[in-house]
Amino acid sequence: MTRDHLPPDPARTATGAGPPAGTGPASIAPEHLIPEGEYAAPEDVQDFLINIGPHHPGTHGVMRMVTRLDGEKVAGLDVRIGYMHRSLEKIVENRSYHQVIAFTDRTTDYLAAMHNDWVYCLAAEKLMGIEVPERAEHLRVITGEINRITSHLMSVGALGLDSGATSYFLWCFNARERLVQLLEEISGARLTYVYLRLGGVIYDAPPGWTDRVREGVRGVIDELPSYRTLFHDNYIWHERSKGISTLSHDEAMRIGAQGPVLRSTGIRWDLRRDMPYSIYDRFDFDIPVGTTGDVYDRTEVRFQEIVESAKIIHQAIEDMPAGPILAKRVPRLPTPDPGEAYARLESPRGEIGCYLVSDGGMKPYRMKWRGASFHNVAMLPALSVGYTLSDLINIVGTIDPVMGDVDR
Amino acid sequence: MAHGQGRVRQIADSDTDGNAPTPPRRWIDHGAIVPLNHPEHREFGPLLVAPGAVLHSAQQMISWARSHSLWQMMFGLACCAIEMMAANASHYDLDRFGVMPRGSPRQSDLLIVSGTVTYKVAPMVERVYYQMPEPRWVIAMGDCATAGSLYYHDGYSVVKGVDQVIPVDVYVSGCPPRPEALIDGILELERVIRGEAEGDHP
Amino acid sequence: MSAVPVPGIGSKPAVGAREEARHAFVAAARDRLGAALVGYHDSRDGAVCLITPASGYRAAAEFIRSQGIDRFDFLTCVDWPAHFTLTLQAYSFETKLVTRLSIRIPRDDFAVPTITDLWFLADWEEREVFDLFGLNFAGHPDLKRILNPETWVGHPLRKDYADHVDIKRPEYF
Ligand code: SF4
Repeated sequence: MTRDHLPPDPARTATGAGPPAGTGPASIAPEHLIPEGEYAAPEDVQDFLINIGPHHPGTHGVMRMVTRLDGEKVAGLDVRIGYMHRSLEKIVENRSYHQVIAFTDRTTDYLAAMHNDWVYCLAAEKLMGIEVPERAEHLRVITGEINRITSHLMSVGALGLDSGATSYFLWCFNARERLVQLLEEISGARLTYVYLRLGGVIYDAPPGWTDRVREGVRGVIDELPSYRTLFHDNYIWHERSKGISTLSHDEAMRIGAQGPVLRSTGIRWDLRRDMPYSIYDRFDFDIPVGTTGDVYDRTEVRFQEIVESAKIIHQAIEDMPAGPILAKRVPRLPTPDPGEAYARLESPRGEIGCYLVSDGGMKPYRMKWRGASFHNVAMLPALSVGYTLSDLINIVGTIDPVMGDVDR
Repeated sequence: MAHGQGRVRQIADSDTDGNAPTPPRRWIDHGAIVPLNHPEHREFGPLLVAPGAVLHSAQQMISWARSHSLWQMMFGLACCAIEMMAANASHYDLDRFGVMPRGSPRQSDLLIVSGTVTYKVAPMVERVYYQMPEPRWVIAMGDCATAGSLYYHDGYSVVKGVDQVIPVDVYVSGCPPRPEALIDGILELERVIRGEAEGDHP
Repeated sequence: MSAVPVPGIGSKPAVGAREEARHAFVAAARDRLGAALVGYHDSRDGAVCLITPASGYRAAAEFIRSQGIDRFDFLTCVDWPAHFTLTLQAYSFETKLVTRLSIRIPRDDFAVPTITDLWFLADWEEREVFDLFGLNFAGHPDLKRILNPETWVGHPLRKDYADHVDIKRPEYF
């Protein structure tokens, strides 16, 4: 039964819109209202501390935020991390170069495992001077970009969950699930694909996979307008996100914002275009940017990046040559010459990097992981002071921290 | 739970002639209504099983109810948490099994320890566990929560299994376990709660 | 959404711009740091590495910052048998020049001045180095452990941290 079949509402028909005069909340007599001054806190009320985390659902992992509140406004924020510190850098000092790949995709940013393996492989390949075959580069790009889409879908979906739009979260997960199945098909795993190897990738694309990728990605892109209607163009979301936690260019540069947070302030900086690695200089894609760097813009940048990733995927599939997928003569126990190498890459969360030091042995002498989330979480106090506690959860959601990347 | 099982086993053993079909165990355990002409009535006649009565102890009935509404504490620790979320989200849809994510330990029965437990977070896991009302159950999801996984050697900051901190009912292996594996673990936990599980559960 | 153009950012560098920037940077480093610059080289990943003695660390960092190298990459430490190496890496948005600064710190005396006032992100990185290696950063506003619990004993990433074989359990076990 639609609304038209309901009997007319007398209160509505009387004036055309809204309750007729003399009824409803507007008719409370002034003497029944508490004078405004009575709500005001006395002068001597102190700020109070409220602890969020480490296992609060709004912290996207185990992070602790000790918040000093002035009324409902955040007056100070102390972020404590380390709850997910899994001793990555110690462990890899005791593993061979090939074994490290299993650790980089779990221990660091597990939502973008492909990118983490990739940056490690880039650093190790620089260290050893390995050339990666063309086909492997294309497969890396395709899987990497699919992973970026899944990561962004997860990020915006979780933001919906944080701000009360549970069905949006379910929609995003539905789309993510289809893409994860594509990654599973080529790598054998749903989340921790140990798919990259030093000098290439381990499996070639199964027959018909590229067509299914095209279809799957196109299917997700076709759904995006309805996502926009559901969430991004929703009045409630605009109210909760526009003008919240704005960030200027200069401030973003000063505090070292990463990835989508940086781009949302209007700075068109993307390592894929500005310091190209792999074969990204061959593809044609845009870099979505925002203007004010608020919560809305950050979400919007992520959402639009999904479309750009899809463009890259289509181009990479188009150009993918036949050929080997693994470099020849990569030793089983590589012993690179003493030295150091650093590689950086644009992951869904921003710039990640891997610094490898070799002493000529079979194991990395030292590996330093530069996580994008680590730096983004460090700037959280600068982003959230002055906004309300309920906005704080959204702000954390838009910098999209992954605790594995923060604590390693 | 234990009483029901003993009796049921007896029935199954005594029906060796092959004429009368062995009554399925689940009729009794699941509280089905036993038809009047069923051989069980001969067995349990003195126990006042009337037509339409439910053959159950109160404890069995309560366990059955509990096993089908496990409210789960949302406690994501690491990579496994993503698969736990995937199991909760649209494709796998844990709500079908009565598993609902809750934000507060005070409202939940089930703690899924999804991920690596480090020494720094172990006190919080413990506290969350003790904040949950009795009866409460724990699933150790993933190899990390089971035994430390990849971080067993050289991982100076990782607890080698969450069972060093809190008692665990069901272990789900995998790194990460697929959502299907988690669902299987939850079904196994339901069997544990109803006392049907095999193995040395308490 | 339209981009607000930011001068110098977002335009592709002209061919050779990075080379020019590198030459200018090295010339300025020789000029400004003088004898404090022990040496420099190009690493195999294309970064310009400056090497200074430990006493020249702060001056070299200030010099790098003054050259418009605004993007902080990382600060880390390597535990060599005879000494620690503290490595700082940063790059420039404008010229895309990557610079790395390495100093050697003797094992028995490791206090280095902080650089938190130069790069915002150095704050947490210094705390991490303190946590994992035990280096003290003089003048850091809040130097305490960041990854490990504050009651943790030892500095795990030192090569002589033997505890990882048999971990000492914290009190609550
Ligand atoms: S078991 Fe594997 S997937 Fe799960 S938390 Fe541990 S490393 Fe991550």
